[in-house]
Amino acid sequence: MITAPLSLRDVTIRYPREGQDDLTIIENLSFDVDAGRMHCLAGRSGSGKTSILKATAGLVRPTSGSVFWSGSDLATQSDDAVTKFRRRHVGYLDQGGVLISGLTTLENVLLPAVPDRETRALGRKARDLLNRLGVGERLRSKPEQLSGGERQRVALARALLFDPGVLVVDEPTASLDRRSADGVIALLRSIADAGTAVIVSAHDQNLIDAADTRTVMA
Amino acid sequence: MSRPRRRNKDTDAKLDRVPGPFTRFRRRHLRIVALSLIGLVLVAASFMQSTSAELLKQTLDANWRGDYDILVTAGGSTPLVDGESTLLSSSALTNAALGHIPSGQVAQVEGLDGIDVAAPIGEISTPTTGTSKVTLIVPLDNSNPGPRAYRATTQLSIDDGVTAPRTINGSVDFVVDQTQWEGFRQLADGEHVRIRASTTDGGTYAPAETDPNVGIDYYYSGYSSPRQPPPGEGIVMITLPVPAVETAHIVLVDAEAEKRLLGDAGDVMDPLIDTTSLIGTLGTNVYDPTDPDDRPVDGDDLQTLSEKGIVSNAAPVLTRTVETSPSALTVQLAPLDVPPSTLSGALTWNQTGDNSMLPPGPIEGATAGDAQTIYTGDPGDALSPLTFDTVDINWPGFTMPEQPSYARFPYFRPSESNILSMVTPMADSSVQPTTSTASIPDATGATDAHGAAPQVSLQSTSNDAGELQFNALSPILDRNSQPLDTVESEIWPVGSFTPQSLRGESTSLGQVGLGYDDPDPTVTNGSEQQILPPSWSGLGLNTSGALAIADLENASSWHVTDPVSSIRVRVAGIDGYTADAQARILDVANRIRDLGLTATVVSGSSLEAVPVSLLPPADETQGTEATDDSAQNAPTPEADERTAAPVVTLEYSRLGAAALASGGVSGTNLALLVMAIVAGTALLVAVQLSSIAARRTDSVVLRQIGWPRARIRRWLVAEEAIPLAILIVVGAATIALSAVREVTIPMVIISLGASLLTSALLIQRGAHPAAPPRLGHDAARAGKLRTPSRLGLRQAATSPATTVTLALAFTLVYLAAATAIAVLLTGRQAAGTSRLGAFATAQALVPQGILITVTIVASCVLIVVVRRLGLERRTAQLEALHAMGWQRTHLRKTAIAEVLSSAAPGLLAGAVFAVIGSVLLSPTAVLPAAGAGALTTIVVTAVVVRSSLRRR
Repeated sequence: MITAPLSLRDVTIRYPREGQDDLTIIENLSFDVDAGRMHCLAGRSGSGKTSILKATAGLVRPTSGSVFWSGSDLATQSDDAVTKFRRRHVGYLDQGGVLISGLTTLENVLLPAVPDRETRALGRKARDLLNRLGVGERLRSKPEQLSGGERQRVALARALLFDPGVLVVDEPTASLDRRSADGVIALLRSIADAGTAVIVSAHDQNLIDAADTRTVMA
Repeated sequence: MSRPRRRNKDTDAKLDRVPGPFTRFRRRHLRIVALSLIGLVLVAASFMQSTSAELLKQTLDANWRGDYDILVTAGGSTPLVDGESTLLSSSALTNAALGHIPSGQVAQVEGLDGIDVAAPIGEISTPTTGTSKVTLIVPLDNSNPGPRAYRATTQLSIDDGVTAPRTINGSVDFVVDQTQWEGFRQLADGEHVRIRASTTDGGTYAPAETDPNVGIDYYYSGYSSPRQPPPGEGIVMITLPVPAVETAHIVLVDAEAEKRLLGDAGDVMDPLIDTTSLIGTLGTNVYDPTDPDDRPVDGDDLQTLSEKGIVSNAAPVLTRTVETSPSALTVQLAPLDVPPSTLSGALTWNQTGDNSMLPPGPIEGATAGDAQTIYTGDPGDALSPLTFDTVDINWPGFTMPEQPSYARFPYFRPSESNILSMVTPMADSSVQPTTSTASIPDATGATDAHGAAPQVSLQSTSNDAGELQFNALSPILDRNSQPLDTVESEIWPVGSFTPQSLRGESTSLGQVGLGYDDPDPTVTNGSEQQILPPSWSGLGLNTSGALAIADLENASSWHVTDPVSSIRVRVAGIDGYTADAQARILDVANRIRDLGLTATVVSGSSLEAVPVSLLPPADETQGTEATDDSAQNAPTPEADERTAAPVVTLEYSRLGAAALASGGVSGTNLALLVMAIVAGTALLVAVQLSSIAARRTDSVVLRQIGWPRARIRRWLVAEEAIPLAILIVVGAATIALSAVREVTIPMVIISLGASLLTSALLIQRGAHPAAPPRLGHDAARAGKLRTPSRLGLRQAATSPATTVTLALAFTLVYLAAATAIAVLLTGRQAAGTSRLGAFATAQALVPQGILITVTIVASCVLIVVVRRLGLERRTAQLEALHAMGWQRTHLRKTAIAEVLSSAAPGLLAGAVFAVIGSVLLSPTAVLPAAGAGALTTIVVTAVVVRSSLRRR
């Protein structure tokens, strides 16, 4: 019986290529990420880390194998059901931290609350998150006015809005300087220590070392 | 180790250079697409308009004239339909209400300069009594001299397929009494035939031989035949009471002028022209029964029969060939058992010379035996008074030898007159009578049925002094050289016509009624339209109209003065539908008016369907008024199933139809052209404005690398020069292709000016970097972003230029669809509902439809292109929203809101313009046009939303 917040069992991901054999990204990968633990997917660029993270976030269906959220197989659920669950229980931070242009920092953080019309109720929490992540002074700024690190932290605040049980983070330190990167690593570590199951992808050694468990991609 | 790839020096050289303005322009895909689409729309609009104009000109040139240009009627007359200032009925040409044009004025019109043909026309109505179209052939029975009494009953059913079928019953008793018959023999002077054959409807009959040749000899020789007819079988031919047309409408024309008027179809008048010399001629020969050469032969034409003395005072006519309603005739015969005393009392000899007569009504005391049906069939054209066809019903067991056609032709008796009242004996009685060009009134003061004094045909001679003197044809001699009190005109068919054969050189679109060429009306029966055939019984909705055409020369024989009711005038030297041609026609019309006549210009007219709601036919028939009470007009059981009050569709000429068609089609084309140019210009300006932001971003970079502002402006000017040059070429092409350059030139100039101004604005603004974006609104109010739809609206607001461009594109979609419907609905209305208007409208639909389709497609393509520009940004945003848990329904709401922020104002603007335009075109088209525009815009919006939701 699977009890971990996030579990992969024999996950294989292949992408079809026209006129050629399918490109195998991952084959028969299995691991668990328990609550309060940080798991790191390490490997060079193009090794499939982002594909695995998308599969764990329910954004991509694996070619074979299963992804479990708290014991529930995602393959047995509809995309809408997966999306809805992801909204409340899985925080996803993609590489680069995409923010919606034309919206302020605060509005970007509140976006997950819009479908359920809870923006008013979560407004204070969003501001607290931004303050906690050091971008509280940039509430009214537009994405194009933020630095790379600031955008990363705003996206992280958005991912943490509903206190998810699982946090999926893709290359959080890729475009940051050392100091900013260490700040993000410390933040992720604290989130994991607070009880969230965190899974990150990285080729930053400091981040790899900060993880509790690792999967090295070939 | 692989060899390094050979480098191309040219490629390197190209890569080392900064692209010039043309290359930079080529990379601005949106601008190129927009320019291409707008250019396509403008050129297509101009091409459509000029193509349509050319098609319209060709159509009008070929179809605007009928066979004549001006209808001349008596001064003060109004030939147009009451209450309608532009409708002319074909029957108006010979309508007695128009009055008559004196012959002197007819000649004046014919002598006017600039006239190609002046063709007068009139019409008379003449009774056709005395016709015997359905007869019962009763053979004489020497073994049973009688008197024999019988009852013949007739039933004629007519079914025109539209109105209630009608049945007319008739009945007549007749008696044949041979008790004093001595057989055919030479009669003494004053002696009467000792045979009685009488009917209860006033008919009395002499016997005739069955041998037609002998019969002719006997008949034409009267009772004093020099020959002794051989004994043999004899017959009596009883006319049966079957209703038939009792009034013949005969159109009178000048056959020579009519032939010229009809052009290629004028050959139909040749039989009249060839026989004009026989009109009113009393015959130069008297039939000589002893001369074998005088014996008429079946197939002899009128000239030959006249020379043989068979026909005298001929009135040659062309008869109308017409397909009549199906009818069914049933005749039954029953012997009557009449007490001898009753019969002998009923039959009386009139010793003064009249044949015996029976009192009207059924023979009193008669008992009818078993009736047998002796005939059933469709009498067809036999009921027409102008055909040789008859229905001769043989007595049961008897077969009548075939008779020559001329022996049975029933001739008319137009009003007879006493023409000997003022004659003076001719000095030389051997002078043969001929028709004179002079005619003088009958001095007795008698008048004919037309209220005119009868004319006397005279012969003109001159005395030694050269003076004309007129000698009456006195006495006028019959075939036996005996004086006649009256002269009957013998109407004789010499040819036939159908309304379709008298088309002249006009096309069906420009056709105007000639006065005798009316097609049978159509009747709307439910959802179907069917031709309503006439009936020779004279019953039904469609009486047969003009039955014959005769030459005006007959007028005097028929005692008709000033028979001309109208003149059809064709103006000479007219080619196409031009202002000059119309001015020529108007000039001739004015000169005719100066003569005191009414001149109605009919060129430029076209036939138009006019529905006439009629009441059901009255019970009183036009046919024979039955004297027998049993005769009745009885509706059949199918009556209830038929149309009670049918709508008959006639065709009248709509005057000015060509002008209506021209104005309607041209107006619609112009509206489409203006719409296309205005909309295209608006789109172009919007696309230009939407690129300002990108230029400003470029300017920031250029300033950062050290470009002065003047240099940046030159950079932008060079880029803007290319699309402007393209626009100038497009504008020139639009003007060159347009047929209304007086409108196109200023519009193109305005469009180019708008584009130039926008380019200047783009250069001026684009050369300055954008100001830093202002901070967002108060953070406390950030909670306003509460729904996915609001995110969509916010996204639209971040790109106002794009949103406006899309809104304009949606407006164009709306306008194009609304215009299509408005054009479809109002085009015909504006161009008129005549044949020409309908044709011109339908003809214009093709180029108009192409333009509307091109405009809609171009607008949709522009929408797609503009949307695709932000595809990359939008796709990344969609993925981010999906990643943070936005389900498909939420994403759809966002996309819908974003698209609607352009589509809704576009729809609203389109609706406003469409309503205004429709009100100006036709208020009845407002709702359909607005509905079509809204529906099309909604469909396009849905497609755009759907395409927006596609993610990588």
